Amino acid sequence: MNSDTPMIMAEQLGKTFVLHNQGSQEIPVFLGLDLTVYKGECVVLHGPSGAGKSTLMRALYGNYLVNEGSIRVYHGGDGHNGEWVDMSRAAPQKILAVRKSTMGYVSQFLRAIPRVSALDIVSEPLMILGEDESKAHERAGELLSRLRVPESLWSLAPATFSGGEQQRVNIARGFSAEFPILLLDEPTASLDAKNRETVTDMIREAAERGAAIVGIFHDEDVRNSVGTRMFDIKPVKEAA
Amino acid sequence: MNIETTPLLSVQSLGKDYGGKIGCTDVSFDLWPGEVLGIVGESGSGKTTLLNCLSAQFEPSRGKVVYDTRVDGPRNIFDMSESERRLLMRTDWGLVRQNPRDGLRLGVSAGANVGERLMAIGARNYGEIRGVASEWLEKVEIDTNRIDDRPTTFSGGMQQRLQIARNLVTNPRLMFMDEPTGGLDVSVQARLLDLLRGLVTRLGLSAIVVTHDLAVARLLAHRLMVMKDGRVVEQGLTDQVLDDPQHAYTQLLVSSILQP
Repeated sequence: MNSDTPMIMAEQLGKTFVLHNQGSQEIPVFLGLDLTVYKGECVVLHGPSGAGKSTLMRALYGNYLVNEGSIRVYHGGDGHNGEWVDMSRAAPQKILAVRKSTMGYVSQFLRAIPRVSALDIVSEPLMILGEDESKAHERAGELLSRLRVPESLWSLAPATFSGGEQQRVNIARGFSAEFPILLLDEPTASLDAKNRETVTDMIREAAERGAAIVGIFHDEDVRNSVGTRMFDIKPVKEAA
Repeated sequence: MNIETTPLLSVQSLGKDYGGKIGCTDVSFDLWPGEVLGIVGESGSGKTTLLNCLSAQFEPSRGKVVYDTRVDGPRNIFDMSESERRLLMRTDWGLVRQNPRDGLRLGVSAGANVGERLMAIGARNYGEIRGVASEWLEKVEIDTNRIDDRPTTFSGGMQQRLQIARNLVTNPRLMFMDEPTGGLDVSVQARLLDLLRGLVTRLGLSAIVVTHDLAVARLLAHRLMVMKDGRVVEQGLTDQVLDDPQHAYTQLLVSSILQP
């Protein structure tokens, strides 16, 4: 664990939503935001609802654009051919390359794909990295078992699963490839106590193997048990 | 998806007019090997006109479409001779039309539909052609017992899958698809999407997919181009364009979807 090696360096980020079809209303979210995340730490984004926690997370993933600043992410794994990629202005295929091998994102909801089984959804990140199918399925099975998704469901498409089951499939997918950077947006939101504890363990293990983690956790116990540092986000109107 | 230095297709200031009216104009983009580009917009936005120019169905009024050919490297397809362009369309490119009846030969069997493109590039051995045709029927999930049946006896979803097999049989590098799931039942759409997704990933194809269905675009495309009144108003990473649209028109488009 190298806690002095930065993996994400976001500098002077500014984000304002402009709603063109609602009188060009402007909604400022953050301004002048700096965040550095190091290997092996779990930074908890903290702030009231609507402060922009998810917006920041999505910007780090290249899913939302920022109006100002840069989001540099260390991409390339073993340190020899690595490079810094600015997620705020990199070409789409570069952002996809970062997502393929460097950065995983677990959202609150699973975007189920028709006809694709739970096992394949969890295996996919590994398959994309070139892992062979049997090994990818083995790893996917381990994760699904650990998260108590009954084996009878593995071959089914999760569209009909319960919210908690879908969420656990989603978490298994996010953890299957052991990404160097993990973004977790309320991964424990719809889970029971046992599964919440399992996910908490998995997050801690990921940090121990050296992953740089950014998370939003509603649950205070989870926050305290996985977080190594708090990052406060204040609504921009207060800050200004 | 590989990041390479030469784009497979490079489109420069492309435009097409109909009389005094603009079909599409000022369109420029690069398509990279293995990349799937979605073109979205409402009817009349110029997306099908653009696709028809890109795939050499129409001659554009201005601009270039430069394709990285296997033998001679990058060439403007409109500087090629008619026969060169035809060969390209029959081998390296595929075109999947919205209505499978426009892309199939209805008077001959399913097997002959798939085999035709092979014969066009010189295959002559009947047994081999039939063998390859039957493999492709299997890949697109059509029962090989139906190889001698005419496509008119197939359902819409099967016809669409047959059209895809017909195109893929020559191992094209670039596929053009015009509303590939349009006009199909939702369950049939899902099956086709799953099939397309798998084929594109496994074969490392590049594709340009025109659709008005944003869910289809999200599932298939790496990158999106949004068109309005013949112009590209916004482009970028698919999920970024759909989740954080910047242009007024894209915001309207995204917010107009009914959530089931």
